Amino acid sequence: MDQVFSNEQVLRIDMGALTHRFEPLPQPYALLGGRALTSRILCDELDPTVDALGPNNKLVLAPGLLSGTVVSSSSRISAGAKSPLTGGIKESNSGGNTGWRLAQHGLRAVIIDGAAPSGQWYIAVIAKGECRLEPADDLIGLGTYDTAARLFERFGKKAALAVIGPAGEQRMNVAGICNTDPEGRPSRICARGGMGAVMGSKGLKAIVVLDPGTNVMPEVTDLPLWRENAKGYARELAASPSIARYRSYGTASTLELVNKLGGLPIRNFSRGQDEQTEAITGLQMAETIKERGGQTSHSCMTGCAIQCSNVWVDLQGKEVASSMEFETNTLLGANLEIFDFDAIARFTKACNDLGIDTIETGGAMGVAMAGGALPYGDVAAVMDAFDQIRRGTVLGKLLGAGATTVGRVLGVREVAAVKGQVMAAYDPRVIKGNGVTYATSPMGADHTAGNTIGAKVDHLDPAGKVALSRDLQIITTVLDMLGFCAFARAVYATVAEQFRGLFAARFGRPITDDEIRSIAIQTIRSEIAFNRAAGLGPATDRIPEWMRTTPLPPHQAVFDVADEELDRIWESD
Amino acid sequence: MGERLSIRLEVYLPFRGRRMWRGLEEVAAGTTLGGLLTGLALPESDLATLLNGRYRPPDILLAEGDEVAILRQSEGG
Repeated sequence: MDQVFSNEQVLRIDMGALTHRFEPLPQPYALLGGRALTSRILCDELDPTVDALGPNNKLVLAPGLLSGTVVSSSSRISAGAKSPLTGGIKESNSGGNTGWRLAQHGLRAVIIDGAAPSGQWYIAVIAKGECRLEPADDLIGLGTYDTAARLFERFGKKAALAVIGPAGEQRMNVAGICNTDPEGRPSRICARGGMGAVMGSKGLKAIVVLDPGTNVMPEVTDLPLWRENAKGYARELAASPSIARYRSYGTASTLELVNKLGGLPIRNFSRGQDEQTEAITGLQMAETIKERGGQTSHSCMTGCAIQCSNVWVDLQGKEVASSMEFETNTLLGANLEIFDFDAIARFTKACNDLGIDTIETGGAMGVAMAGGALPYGDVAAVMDAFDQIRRGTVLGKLLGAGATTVGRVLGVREVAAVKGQVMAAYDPRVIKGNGVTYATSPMGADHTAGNTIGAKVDHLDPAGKVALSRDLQIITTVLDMLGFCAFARAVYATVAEQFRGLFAARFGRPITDDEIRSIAIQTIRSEIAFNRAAGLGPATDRIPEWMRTTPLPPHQAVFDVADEELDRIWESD
Repeated sequence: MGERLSIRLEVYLPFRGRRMWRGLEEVAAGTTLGGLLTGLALPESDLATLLNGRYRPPDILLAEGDEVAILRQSEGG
């Protein structure tokens, strides 16, 4: 592979010594970004057996290779570490403006090592070639919204923030890292796998990435080529009917599709379809938002043309939450037998303010309901549970540990999880391709690793689902590496040439599709090797046994993709 | 007049003057799933068409009592 020279840097922050240093980007990392870079750094530098919440774990933040400009949907951020939830390697991906700002400062990665002395909390303030740690005593115990408000007051509203909430401070497995959107809401979360707990274990309450000034973007070798390919990509996005749909209905319309397929998690994954979901469809959501004067479309990061985000308002038109998403509407709605958007909006806001993953939390509450610790369908009980998470009561800490721990404590066998991480809103007994992704991704039961719901295939038929999942896991890793949103996949097949063109313009060398795919496959294989060394053997690459034997109504389906097929998924190139 | 079949049709988007449409539909025997879709002339493209809760090939013949659901294609993020 040709060498690529870059002025970009890696910032290392040692929270134990309270020091930092900037390093030139190492040559072997020149063509790595996002997930490919977070995982490579962890594989190179981390003993896979370290305590995930100990000082020897590392938290790596990395924007994508093409992040830092206003090319639509291209500035997502990856947060990587050994996960306290899965016990394996993790990459958790988010929108918001943190990735955009880091890339503008010429930073390919921020590596946070060590841990502050017990009881001490800090914020890291980052600009080009500058970093300082400041005490964060005044922020401890605050929710993410109050934390963000105070930091914007100090550093200006053009800064981008990555903050943790009370759950991260308490090192809960459900804790994520909350990134601010263009209006400053800390609502775009690197949610999955407990990355917020890792940040909390280091005594780091927030990262502030300062505004670099106007018209700053990462170095681009060939600007005319960059502009030409950016325009081509934008044209495809504008012409795509599926992208247009996200602007009207967000991700919420997925609910009626998955419900009709019979694979929607309802009442702790015990039914796949329910007429009561009529009240929480994407169509219903869009109509209510319009009636009340909210926003059906909204960019979660500067320059995003997909605009799948939204702003839910109450009857008086006052903002309650941004954004209402399919996964949240299902795991904290249908899965808890709560079919009420106003309630789900309050849950969403509570999760964002606590800094927690709505999927893992909804899954944990569903298991708690199955175990009798919470009543199904009880909005007040769920709101009280959020308060208990904030206060760190025994029930709050139990829920904060995630669905698998709740199942163990309450004796509930029906926990829909792989590698200790709860599944997203697609029951694998029906959406079998996603079952393959849940089982075989080194990330655990994470739909964002390779979501097959968009394929127009017979999801109940196990045939071909390993190949489908494999292909999507590779494409998703490519997009994560480049910094693009997974929804850009809708046009990926038609704009792959533009993506390669953007790459060539940025780095001054061409890249082939085979090269990109090869980096993605190598990334996944190295993550699997990390997991094996961490003690996660092939037996953890499985859908739970009860989902192979307990039929899911209405199709009475079980997960029936053969284990041997799962084991062979990464054998070929 | 040839033999007719009754199917249940659910359209999860504005159709026939309603925000969404559900009801029984009479179709000629021999109508395929793809043929039904073409005949409905829906205002949006790239839709998900399910027969009895499953994606099926467009050339499959409809049968008495079938349920056809037409939805917007999307996914969670």
